[in-house]
Amino acid sequence: MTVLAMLGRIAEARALLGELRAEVIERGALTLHAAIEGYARYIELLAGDLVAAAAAGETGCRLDEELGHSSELSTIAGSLARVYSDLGQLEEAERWASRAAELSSSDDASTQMLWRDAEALVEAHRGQHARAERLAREAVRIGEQTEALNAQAETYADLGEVLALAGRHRRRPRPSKRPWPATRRRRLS
Amino acid sequence: MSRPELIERRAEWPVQLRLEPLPAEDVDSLIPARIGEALREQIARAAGGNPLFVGEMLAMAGDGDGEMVVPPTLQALLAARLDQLEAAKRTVLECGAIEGEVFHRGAVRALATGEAAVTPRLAALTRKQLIAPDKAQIRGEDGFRFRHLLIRDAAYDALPKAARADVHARFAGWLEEHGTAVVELDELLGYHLEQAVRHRGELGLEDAELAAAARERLSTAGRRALSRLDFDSAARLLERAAALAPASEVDLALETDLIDALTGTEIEQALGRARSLSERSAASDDRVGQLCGRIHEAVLRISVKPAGAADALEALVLEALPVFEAAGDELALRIAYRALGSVANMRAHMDQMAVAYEQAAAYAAPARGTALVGYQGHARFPRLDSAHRAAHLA
Repeated sequence: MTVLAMLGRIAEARALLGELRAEVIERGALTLHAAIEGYARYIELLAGDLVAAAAAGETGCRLDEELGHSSELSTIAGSLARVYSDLGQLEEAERWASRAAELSSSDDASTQMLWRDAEALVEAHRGQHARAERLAREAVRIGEQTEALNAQAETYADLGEVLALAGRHRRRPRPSKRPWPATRRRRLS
Repeated sequence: MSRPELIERRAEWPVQLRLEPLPAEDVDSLIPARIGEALREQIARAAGGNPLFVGEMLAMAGDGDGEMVVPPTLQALLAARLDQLEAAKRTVLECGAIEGEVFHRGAVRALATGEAAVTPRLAALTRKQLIAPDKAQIRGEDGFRFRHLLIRDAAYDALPKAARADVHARFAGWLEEHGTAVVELDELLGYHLEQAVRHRGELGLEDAELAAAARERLSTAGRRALSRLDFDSAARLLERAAALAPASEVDLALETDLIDALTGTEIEQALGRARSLSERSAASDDRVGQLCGRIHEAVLRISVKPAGAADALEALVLEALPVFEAAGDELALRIAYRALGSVANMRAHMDQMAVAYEQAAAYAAPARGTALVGYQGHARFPRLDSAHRAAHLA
C-alpha cells in the first residue's frame, strides 16, 4: 500500500489501508494497529493531507504509549512534530518535538533527526534563527552518519527552509501551510 | 422443556405441551442489563434457549462479569437426567462429550468400545432431547450437537479422570485419521492430547510421549497463528505448548517464537519470558540458552527503555557469537544476527541491517521455528521497529 501511494495511486492505498485498519481493530491487535497508523501517516503525507497525517500520528502515539513502546513512540512523536511544523501549528510541533527528545535514545538516529528538524522549523518561524540553524545543522550531521538517504535528504531540505526563513535565500521561502509537494518523499518513520 | 424425563415417569399425565427453545432475543430480554457482554454471551449460549437454565445461572452470576458458574441446583438436575439413562446410552453420550458440543457418529463408534449399537443409542438420545442431529464438521460423517452445552458438560464431568484421559487420547487418534481436512486440526489434536496429559498428570501418571505429541501439535498451531500475525492466539497456543515441556528441558525454538508472539501482545510479558528463559537455561548450565534469553531481553529493552539499549545489545551479541559458533547452534546464531539487525536499525545503518538480516535468514531453517522471511527487505526503509516488521510480514 505504501508502494501504491508512492506511485500516486492514493485512493487504492487508502482503500487497502482502511481494510487493514478495520481488521486489526476488530482483532484488538494494538501492536499491529500502531504499525498501521505509521503507514497511514506516510500515505497521507504523500497524498498531501497533513491534517490526516497528523491524526494518524496522534493515534499511533496514543497506541504506542498504551503499549509501553517508548522507542517507537519517540520516533512517531518526532515525525508528528514535523507534520505539525508544516501545518504551522507551532505549539503542537514544539510539544511533540520535546516529547520525542525526552524519550529517544541518543543513538536513535532517525528520531534525533526528526525532533531537531521539527524544533528548528518552530524556532525559525519564531525568529530564533541562530538556534534554528544550529538544530538543523545538527540534524544534517546525524543524518550524514547514517545510510538513510531519504532522511538525509529531509535534513538538507529542512536546513534550506530554516536558512530561507532567516532571509538567507534568493527566492521567497515557501509558506508553512503549503500543500505537501507530491514529488517530495518523506521518511517513513 | 426443562425436565422431559418427567413425561416418561408420569405417563398418566393427560396433556403434553412441548415448548421449543426461546429465540435469542427473548433469552437476551431475560438477562438484566447489568450483566456484562462476555458473561451475557456465556449464559445465553449455555442455556440454549431454556429459561430455567437462564434463571438458575443468573442467580449464581450476581452482578459480576466473571466466569460463568453452573449452579449446584442445575448440575444436580442435569446429573439426575443422566443418571436415569441406561449404561450403554450413557456411555455413548459420554464418548460424544469428549469431542465437544458437536460430535460425530464415527468418533463415538471408535470410542465406545464394546458398544455395537451406537446408531440406535444416538437415536434414543435424540428422542430424549439430550442431543440433536447437526451439520457434520468432518466430511462423510454424521454430526450431532448436545441440546445444551450444560448437558455436554454434565456428561463430561461424570467421566472419571482416568477414563477422560484415555478417551481424549483415543479421540485424538481417531481425529488424526479422519479429520485431515479439518482446518484447525493441529489446535484440536493439541487440545485433546493436552487434556489426556493433564488428566493423567492429576492422577500422578506421566506420559512423556503423549506430552511430546501434544506439544508438537500446539507448537505447530501456534506458529501458524504467528505467521498470520494473530499474536494473541499464537501466544496462548505456544504458552500451552511450552507448559508441556519437561521441567529440565528448554526448547529454544519454542521459547523464541513465544517471546515473538508476546512481543506483539504484551511486551512486559515478553520481557518476563525472556528473563525466565535466561534463568532456566542458567539453572541447567545451558550457556547458549542463557545468552539467547539475555539477547531477547536486550532487544525488547530497545522498545521499552531505549537509552543505551542498542550499545548494550551489540556488546552482548558480540560476546555471544563465539559461544554460538563454537556450539554450532544455528538457531542461536539466527537470534544473534537478528539482534544485530535491530542495532543497525536503531542507528539507521541500512546496509549493516540488510547484511544482519540476511545472515539471520540464512540460519532460519524451517525445522527450527518461524523463519525470518521478509526481514532483510526492511533495510530499504530508514527506520522500522518490530511492529513495522510485523506489518511487513503480513
